[in-house]
Amino acid sequence: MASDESISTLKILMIGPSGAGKSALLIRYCDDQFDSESSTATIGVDFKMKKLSVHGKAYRLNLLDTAGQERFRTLSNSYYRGAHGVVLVYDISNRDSFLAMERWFEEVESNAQPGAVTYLVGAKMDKTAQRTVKVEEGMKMAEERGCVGFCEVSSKTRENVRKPFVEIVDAVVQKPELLSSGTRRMGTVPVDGGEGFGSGCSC
Amino acid sequence: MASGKDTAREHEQDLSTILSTEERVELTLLIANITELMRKQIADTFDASVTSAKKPQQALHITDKNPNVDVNKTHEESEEEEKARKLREKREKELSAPKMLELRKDSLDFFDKWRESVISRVGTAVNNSKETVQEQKETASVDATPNSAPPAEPKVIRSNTNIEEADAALIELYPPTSTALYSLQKDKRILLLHSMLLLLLSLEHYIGHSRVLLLHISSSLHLPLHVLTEQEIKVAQGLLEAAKHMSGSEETQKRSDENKVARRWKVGLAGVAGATVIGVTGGLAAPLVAGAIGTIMGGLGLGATTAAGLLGALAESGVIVGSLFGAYGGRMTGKMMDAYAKEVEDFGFLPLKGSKHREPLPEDRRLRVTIGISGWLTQKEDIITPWRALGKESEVFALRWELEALTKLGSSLESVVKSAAWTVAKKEIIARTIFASLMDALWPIALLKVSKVVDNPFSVAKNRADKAGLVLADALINKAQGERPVTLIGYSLGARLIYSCLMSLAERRAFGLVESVVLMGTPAPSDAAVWRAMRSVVSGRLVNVYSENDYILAFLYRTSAIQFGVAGLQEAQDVPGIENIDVSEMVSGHLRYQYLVGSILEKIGFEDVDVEEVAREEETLALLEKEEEKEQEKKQGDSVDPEKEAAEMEKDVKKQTDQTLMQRAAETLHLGK
Repeated sequence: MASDESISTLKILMIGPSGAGKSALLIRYCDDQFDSESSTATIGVDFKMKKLSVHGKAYRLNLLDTAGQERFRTLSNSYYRGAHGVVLVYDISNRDSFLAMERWFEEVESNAQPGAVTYLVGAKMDKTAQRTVKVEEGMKMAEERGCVGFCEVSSKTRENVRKPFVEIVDAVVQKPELLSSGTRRMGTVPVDGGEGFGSGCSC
Repeated sequence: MASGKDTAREHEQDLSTILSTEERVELTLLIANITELMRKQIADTFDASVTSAKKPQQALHITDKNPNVDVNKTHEESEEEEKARKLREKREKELSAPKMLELRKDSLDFFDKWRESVISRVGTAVNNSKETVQEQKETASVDATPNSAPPAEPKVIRSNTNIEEADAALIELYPPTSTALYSLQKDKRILLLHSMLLLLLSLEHYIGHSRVLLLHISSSLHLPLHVLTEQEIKVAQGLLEAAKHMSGSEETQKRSDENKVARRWKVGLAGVAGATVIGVTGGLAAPLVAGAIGTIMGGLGLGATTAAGLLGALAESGVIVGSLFGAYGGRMTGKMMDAYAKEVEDFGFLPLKGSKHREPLPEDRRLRVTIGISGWLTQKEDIITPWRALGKESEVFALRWELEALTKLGSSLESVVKSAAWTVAKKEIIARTIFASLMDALWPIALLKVSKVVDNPFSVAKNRADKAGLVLADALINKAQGERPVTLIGYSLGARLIYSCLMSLAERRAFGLVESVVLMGTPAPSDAAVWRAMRSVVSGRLVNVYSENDYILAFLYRTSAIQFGVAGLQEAQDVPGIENIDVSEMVSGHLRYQYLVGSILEKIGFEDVDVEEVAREEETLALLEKEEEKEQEKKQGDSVDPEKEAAEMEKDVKKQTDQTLMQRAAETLHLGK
């Protein structure tokens, strides 16, 4: 357990319209489970942890699965704090969810700390028959919005499920300034006592 | 790691069995709204455009009586508007000072961190994929419109008069946030409150902010305050009882060693999210322990596993419970304080229940701590007596500090007040009735002659109060109280001590440690900058109790920096979130506070007051007043030379002080045997 303390913790938010598939992606990624019947909307914000190593270095991801429903908007200012990266998710079989991304990008801009990276994900890529958003469109939007990456995923078939997380972590760790400010804020590491509000895991 | 997380995950499956999806949504939103409100209140403390003066109740007192200590005296006649503008400018200037901006940022940062941990903790508890799916399927048809039901029992609570009063105070102090949850059955609402208490405790601390959040929730759920305090007591008992069955001594030792280092600066919160913490320690789960908690907390409606799940790691480690109650690192009684005692002559916490030589009994332990601090002593029992009025809802300690200095001050004060010179002077002052003159040091000559009797003891004791305040701040930062919120109450120099303590906490950014503070007759500035700083480290109520008739305080404080005002004589102005309570009618003089602690606390709607004790206090005061009257009459006839009187008094004081100290020494010897 002791080694846990020395691992950098990254905070990644999942946002996007209700029903886009954020929770499904996260559950597939963290627990490798999928329930096609499930249609439960997330309440407020759920929390998951996952360890991931990029370039041979281990990171702990604190993944915040936020509710897409409009009524939880009041919560948004409480979870953006100190987030290193934001994954924006839309549903490729739902054009409206794609069009709504503009608004979500705006939310990121007004809430996230400066320098936080964004990543665009088109979910449910297995639903080829119902596809209403082309891959190119997603790619274009990601580029326009300055995302560090874009991909389509399927939580059902597991396709690309790890990709967004690996890539966003990779992008985050290339920004040392973001990493240091972020970890400090989250009170994870400093053992040197220089920080007044240190980690509390020791109690 | 993974196994730890899984254990935590399994435990989380409980709020969903208590509440329907829609209700869980409501709960999340309620917490979001309340914390938003709390954040706004903190931000308002630092907002120049918001002042405390707008409350109608207080506006009555302000109108014309107030001395314009904050503004230059020559501006007294200027137009209202100009005055307001000037004040505003002054505030803006004060607030834009880098020091203030930093304090604002840090206190909001601390709050945000706490809020994030609460919201994620609640989030993990309300969201559970597997459970939810099933539950939704089952209840989808039944609970389709759970909230459209009319309020089931809106006024049932209002049957008992006593309780109703507590409610009114609660609602006034923590206005309810609207939520559909209040239409639930009463026992379900209680269960909800109980679950929230356990959830907040699972963050492994119970800081001031958490308590305030629960107060808001109680008020929003239309539950009377006593429900919450009862829950707190039961949970405290349950935890301690269960802790007996938990974890061996090995872990205890290790923990306590770790804490020696870690605790030092651990003012902050437990990790970014409760789940993180649980992930670390969650693997230790013992079903037996869960059983213990369940049995003890049974009757509250939660099953053993459910309760243990909400409590997270707290249900699995006696050590964590121990640190919640301050068993490691520091503690309220015992040796740790010796280290501090070096700096200040004597300093210690005396439990009102039980003895300081023994660990407090589990049934006397509470989830909250209250510390009462006396301002001067005429007999050594005065350290404890005034605080008997505090109820049993919180673990009450009296602070013992600087017995000698306080005894000396007490006897000097008493003799001055009884002196002929004071009687004469008081008449003169009352005849003038202009309060401002108190500040202008136009003191009757006769009085100034006896001043030497009391000036020195006062300045000595004031000095010591400032030092002892720093020591108290140290003790709190080192978690002598455990992870529990502390309420501080003090009068006279005791209040000065608290002032010094809070200023030190603010400087050291130790937020969330102090829940509420009541200062009575405080010999400290009433200046906005000071009170803003104090406000930032108090999560709940910050009450300034003052009396415009407190001539003694004005007299004593006359040599200090009165240009910043005197909190014990007037309102602390222009800072939102500070309650100024005028007790001019009750408090005819500084020496009254000692006997009025209970009555004043009752008046301000303080939550833990023992009504019977207050009645006793009032009797004592009535007796005392009669006696004093008699004595006054006796003295009326003979006119004494102030010089001579002063000399006489000095002798008296010395004699009395010596006596008290001798007594104490004798007792110590006796105990030593």
